[in-house]
Amino acid sequence: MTEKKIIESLNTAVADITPNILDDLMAELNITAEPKELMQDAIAKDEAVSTVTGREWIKRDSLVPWRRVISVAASLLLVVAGISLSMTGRPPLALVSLDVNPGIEISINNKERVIEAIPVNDEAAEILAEMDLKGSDIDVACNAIVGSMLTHGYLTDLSNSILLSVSADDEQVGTQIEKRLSKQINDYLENTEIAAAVLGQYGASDEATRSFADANGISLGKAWLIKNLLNTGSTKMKESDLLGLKTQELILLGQKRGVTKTTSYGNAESSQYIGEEKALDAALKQAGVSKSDATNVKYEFDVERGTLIYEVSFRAGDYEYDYDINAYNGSVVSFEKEYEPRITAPKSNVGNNSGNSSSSNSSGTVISGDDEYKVENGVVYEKDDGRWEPEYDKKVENGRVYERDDGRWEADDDDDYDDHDYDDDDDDDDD
Amino acid sequence: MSVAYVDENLIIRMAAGDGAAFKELYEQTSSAVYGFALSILKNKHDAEDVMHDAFIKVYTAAVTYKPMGKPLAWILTIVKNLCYSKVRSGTVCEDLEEYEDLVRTDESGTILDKVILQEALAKLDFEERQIVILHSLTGMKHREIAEILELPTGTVLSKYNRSIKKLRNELEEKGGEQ
Repeated sequence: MTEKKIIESLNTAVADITPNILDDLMAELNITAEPKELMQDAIAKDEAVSTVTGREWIKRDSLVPWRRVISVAASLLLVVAGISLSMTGRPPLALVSLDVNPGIEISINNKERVIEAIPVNDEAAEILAEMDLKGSDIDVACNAIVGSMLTHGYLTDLSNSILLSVSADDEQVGTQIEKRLSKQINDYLENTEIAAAVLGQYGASDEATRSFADANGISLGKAWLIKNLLNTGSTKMKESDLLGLKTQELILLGQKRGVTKTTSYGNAESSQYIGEEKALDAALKQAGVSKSDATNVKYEFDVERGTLIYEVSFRAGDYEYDYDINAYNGSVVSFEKEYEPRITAPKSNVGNNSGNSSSSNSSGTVISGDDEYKVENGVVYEKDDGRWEPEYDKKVENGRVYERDDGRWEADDDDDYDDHDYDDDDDDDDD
Repeated sequence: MSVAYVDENLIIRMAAGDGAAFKELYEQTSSAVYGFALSILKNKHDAEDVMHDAFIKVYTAAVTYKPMGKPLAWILTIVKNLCYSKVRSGTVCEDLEEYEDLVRTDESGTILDKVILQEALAKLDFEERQIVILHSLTGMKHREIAEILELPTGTVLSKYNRSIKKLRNELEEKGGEQ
């Protein structure tokens, strides 16, 4: 007796004695096994929506429950065929975008079931080719897609981030869906071996962003993230740079730069980048400054000319340094060194106005012409409409106010001033 | 027919209330579900009860299913848990006479097939029965079976080989007797 024969016999024997309880189960579950196509067609009609052509919604008017559609479909086929469905323009409840590198847009109806899932790139087409999500609950569909992205290796330890975006006319509804799905995806991924990151965002329907997304072959959600990143105050970021970045990189930028109105779980993987400490080391080495001399160190994660960079700024002596360090390899992309002498707090001679037009008063402020100044912690403040505003390009010495102009300190009054030759010979060291 | 592959979309569709998907899933997996339950409980009636409860559970829990590319493993884990729960409740009645009935009362299939099943249920131990039935009815790899049964893959492999050898010997002895 061969192993194969034993297996075949066990198969046959069990199949023969397996009771058929299908009808009982379906009755208990109150479901019917209608042919798939008819059912899906009915579901689609039930949801009162629409077929999708590209990304354009063609809305249909149909509010007939699908079970009723099934029961009458056959007998009323000709009648139904003669009825022209009017185009009412009723939109889907929301559009949900999922981006890893595959980008998928899912429209859902007012029961939060999938009307259509559209791939926006080839990778997404591969994911969706194995699924029929039509009619599925959006929560289930999201899990199915994320699971498939895991299976296909799009979500990995190094590429661990998912962008979830929800667009809806009703902000409350859209935000609620976004927060729920973000949490659900995060919960799902917490049960996997990948320490994933989820960035959720809500956005209202916006024709300009839609056009931008279509023109560049990206999802609406990715287009939003790019637009939002451009609003984070970077002077370097350009739209074209961001379009060239992977979703993982955009999410990392979004998390590091604190894109607003987002739901964020986990941290986008950044181990492939050198990190802030090494970026500082690279900058200090190039500047010839020791770590102990560098103060007021600040970092920003940014993109310049399509490359992710660490912007490292620090102060050493009377100079301010600004470095852009390639985030991948630590090379110096660009740098600036600027002479910025510390503004020293005047001591007992503050307010001593002898020999110049400034004057002091009992409150410790300095009057220069029509302007009033004070010095606190080495910073000069000027009174403007009753409020003290810091003036970083001014200093007070011997009761006189000086303003820096093109590297030279000039007295901020009508009198002749003493020259302070703070020529900034290093200003031309840039780049 | 073994069912190594179950389309994950069936579960996704079930979650959306698709009865046709449920029917399709049932037809693909009912033998594996029943056979696996039988291998644990060794009682046809209890196995049928678990089969019923398992399919109800599969349908109602479809919305919570997390697609990981292993829908059959998910279903069989439900079956296993229901069986273990039944065993723990102490309501299972292991009926040794029942195996003899398989041969005598069931008219379908060949006698040999029934005898082999009878021997598998009677002569193999608790884990051996599950491993042999799962491998035979689902075509699952030993690694996958090991995950469901929460056993080391090596244990599953050695128990499987030992079981086949044991069955072969038993059947040869029976052949010699007859």
